[in-house]
Amino acid sequence: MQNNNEISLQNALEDKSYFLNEIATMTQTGGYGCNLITGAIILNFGSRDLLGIPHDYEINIDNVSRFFANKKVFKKLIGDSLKGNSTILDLEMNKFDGERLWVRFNCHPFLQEDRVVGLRGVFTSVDRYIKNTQEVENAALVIKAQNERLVHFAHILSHNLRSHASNLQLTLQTFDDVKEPSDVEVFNSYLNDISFSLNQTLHHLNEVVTINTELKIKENIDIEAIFNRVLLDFEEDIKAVNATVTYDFAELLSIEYVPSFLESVFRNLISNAIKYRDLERPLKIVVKTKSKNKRKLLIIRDNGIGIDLKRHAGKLFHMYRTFHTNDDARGVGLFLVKSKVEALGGDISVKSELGKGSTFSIRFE
Amino acid sequence: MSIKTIHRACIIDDDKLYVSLIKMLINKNELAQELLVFENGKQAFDYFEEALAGNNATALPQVVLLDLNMPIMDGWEFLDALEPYANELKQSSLKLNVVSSTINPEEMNKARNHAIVNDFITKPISKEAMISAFRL
Repeated sequence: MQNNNEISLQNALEDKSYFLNEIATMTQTGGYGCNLITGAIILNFGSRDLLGIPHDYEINIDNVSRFFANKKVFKKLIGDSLKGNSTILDLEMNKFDGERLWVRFNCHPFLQEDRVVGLRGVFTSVDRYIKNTQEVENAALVIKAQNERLVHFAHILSHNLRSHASNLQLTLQTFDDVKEPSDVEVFNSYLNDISFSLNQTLHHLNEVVTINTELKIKENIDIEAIFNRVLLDFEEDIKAVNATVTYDFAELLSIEYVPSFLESVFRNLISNAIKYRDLERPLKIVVKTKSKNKRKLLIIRDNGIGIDLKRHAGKLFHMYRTFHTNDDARGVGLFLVKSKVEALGGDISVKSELGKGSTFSIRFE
Repeated sequence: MSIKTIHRACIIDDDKLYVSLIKMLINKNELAQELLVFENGKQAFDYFEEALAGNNATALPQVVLLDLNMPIMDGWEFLDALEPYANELKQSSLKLNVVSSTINPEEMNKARNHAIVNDFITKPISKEAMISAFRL
């Protein structure tokens, strides 16, 4: 009895099929074999689990292509195999339910009398690693863009501070010998202007710096309530320019967001729409939310003068870039909007046509 | 050092305060008889192009103070737009100075080495720098 137990233990410890199954499960690996004479495809161990294929679903050479996300890759794989070549590559598969899965896939032809009569191989899920890499790459791109904007911000800020300082110096120099009361008045008005501009620059600096340092507390907020609050502030302007504002937040009523950020997004985009309206026609602003799959969008469209994106696309969201001659164009709004939206993991894009209007789309996280 | 009053000077700058100050300095020191002011590169280019294309070099200023950071068409875009007229500009007595508060050494060098640019002057522009810019 002792002897029999020892033998069965020994067998269990050396059981190849046990280890094969364990390897398949641990590494999320499946195997397959394809009989090119009958067209039948056999899925081994983990394959069905990995791709979520029901046990009664039969696979053959005619329907197997549905499991490959990229048909070109699939065709090349089959072509190479039929020529007798082995393949190993990373490719994207479709699970039975349509979800995508990255796998390391190999395929070896099986030959009889110099003819390829079968194909077989294994595939291992590398989904986690590929997606991690993609996430890291995406994060790096965002950080790179943010970094570029920060460098630009530092340049522009130093430029602006220097402008004020230099105007101050120039004013003192120009008025070094003023005695006439009328000249003193001009001198004072210049000093006032400089002090005002300097204050404004410092205010902008403060606003930008606090985006990234302040605690960003997200709350579940009612988009319509925030929008109406902002709209109230523009009530007079809207009436004065005879603008119509319509909105529809039915697709996405509320969102987890920092309330002051959303308010700032609305405030800047509406203020821009009013500032850059086309005097040829009454201004129309249409605001709506969209929820598609996992994407949550806020869309703000106007029929204003539009932006020449061919010339300005790269610089549109840069600080102190202004593209119009309006006196109140200060080039801070869009920079702030983009910084706030990105600080919460989203992004903003714009479509525009000169003379037709602009559409800003904000993707929340 | 004697200061000779030039006929026509030109400022291309969107900073209104700066422009009024320069105007005062020019008048006070009698540096130019006439002053053209443009708020951005586009306005200035339209004027220059008309003068150059119309072979009317006398309409051109003798001294230009060009800012870099401006809306619509900035200083660099203005210089690019003038590129096709580089030869005509060199033959005329025009002295184009870039005046900017940038401290970016790349921009400063780019300006100094630009074919059409006479010199780069850092803002604030001192009285001495002004006078030397207006010396032909």
